[in-house]
Amino acid sequence: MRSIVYLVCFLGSSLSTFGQGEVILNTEPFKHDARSVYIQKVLDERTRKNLGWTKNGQPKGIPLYLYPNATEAVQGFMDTSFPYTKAGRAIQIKIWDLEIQQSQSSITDIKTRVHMYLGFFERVGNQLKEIYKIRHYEEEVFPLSQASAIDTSHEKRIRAALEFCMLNFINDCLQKSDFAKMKSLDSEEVNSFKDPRILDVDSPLRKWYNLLTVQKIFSKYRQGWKVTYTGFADSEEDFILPFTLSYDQYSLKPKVLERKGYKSVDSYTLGGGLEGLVKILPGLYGRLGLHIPVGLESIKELQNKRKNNFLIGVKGRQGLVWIPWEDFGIVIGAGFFQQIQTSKIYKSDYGFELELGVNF
Amino acid sequence: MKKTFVMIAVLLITALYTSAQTLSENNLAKKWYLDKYKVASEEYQPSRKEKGDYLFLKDDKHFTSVSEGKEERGFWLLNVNGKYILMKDDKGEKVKANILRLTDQNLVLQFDVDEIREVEVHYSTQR
Repeated sequence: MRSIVYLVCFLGSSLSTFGQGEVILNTEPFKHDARSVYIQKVLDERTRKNLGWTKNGQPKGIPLYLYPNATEAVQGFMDTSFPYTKAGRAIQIKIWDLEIQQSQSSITDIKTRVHMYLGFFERVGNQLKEIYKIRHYEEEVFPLSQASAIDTSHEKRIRAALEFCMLNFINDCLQKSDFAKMKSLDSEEVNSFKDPRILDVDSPLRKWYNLLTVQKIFSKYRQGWKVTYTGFADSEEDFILPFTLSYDQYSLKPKVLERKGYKSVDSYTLGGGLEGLVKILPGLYGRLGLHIPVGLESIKELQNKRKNNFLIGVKGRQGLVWIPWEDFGIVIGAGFFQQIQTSKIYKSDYGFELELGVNF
Repeated sequence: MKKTFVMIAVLLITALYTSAQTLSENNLAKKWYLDKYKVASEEYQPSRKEKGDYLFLKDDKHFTSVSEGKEERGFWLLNVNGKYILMKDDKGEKVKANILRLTDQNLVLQFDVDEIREVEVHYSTQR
């Protein structure tokens, strides 16, 4: 009978956790030295009360909430480590931000994090006085292959972030006052853990872009197309070096073939190299590229005799790329290129290229 | 015969669980010698340069570590809910190490650093 009750409880908690997008915060106590402090009240002052959205197999995604709400969940968590004592110092916590942020951080990884911004208050007379505030990011990186494990792990990071904020509050704030008998980290350590990022600076999570584009070139000698995959995490830095892989297929223009006396000249190259993106505006990037195309040149003479030639060259690119929508949309690019190569027909080429593709 | 195997298995599992320690500063505050590395269940021994490397987590929250013979000092902080140690050296460099296992004599860490995230670093109290 008892096992049936356990099973029902388990199913109930699973449904509430996954079906309704609720995160049940466990109450794992942690060690600290502030024995005479307790959390009198937790106030949720966020304008948006959910933690974020999770796909969880739903096409539109579902909002995630702390169960039964952020105020009670955080209060319950704090009560296990900071229980009420009659002579204790009453602290109130205001939740200004508590959300889950997630983004692909590299070609193989996803970075997920909890962003927490808390204020600590104490009643002085009739007034509630702010005595401390802290912003903290609790981050974890998962391989893309383990992305399904992320949803169930948010709970642990929320607890870790709460513990981090509380320990910093105790060490940074209470330690400085005449708070009774508090043995804590020495002041040097207190400062050492004061991450300048966590106090007032908001740090947006980098957004990963996958671009798949097709380019058409307009050049002196060639016509054809090129398909390129580009992957990069947008950052606050002005210069980004993305991962690129490209394949192109070109043939000599009919007029050039006629003039040079060949039936056909086709080239097939794989591209690699450095392609830097200079951030101009959100979504608009300047592109500076240096590529080493390596491949094959297939020459067919007028007598139908075929020759193959190893092709290697150096290609420079300059242009603009526009990514109008962050999540899914069209990518538009344009630019100039210059190329020198080991071709038997033409050693250098230059021209203009147009690019169209998608980001996903 | 079958019963004997079952008994041995039960004893081994019990021994394993009883030796696992509660995550606390007291249980972590020891001198941990580098024992081996593990990547995807493959074990690797420390190089000759790394022989004698250690991580000394002191009671007073200071730490001293020796990596490839190079000594570093700083402070450490345990996050019980996150199950990690946060270390900050004298130069201000911070590193987060996830605690994968802690027993009386063994500590297994996974450093939150891109290049070595797949590596389990095994420490032992015995040199």
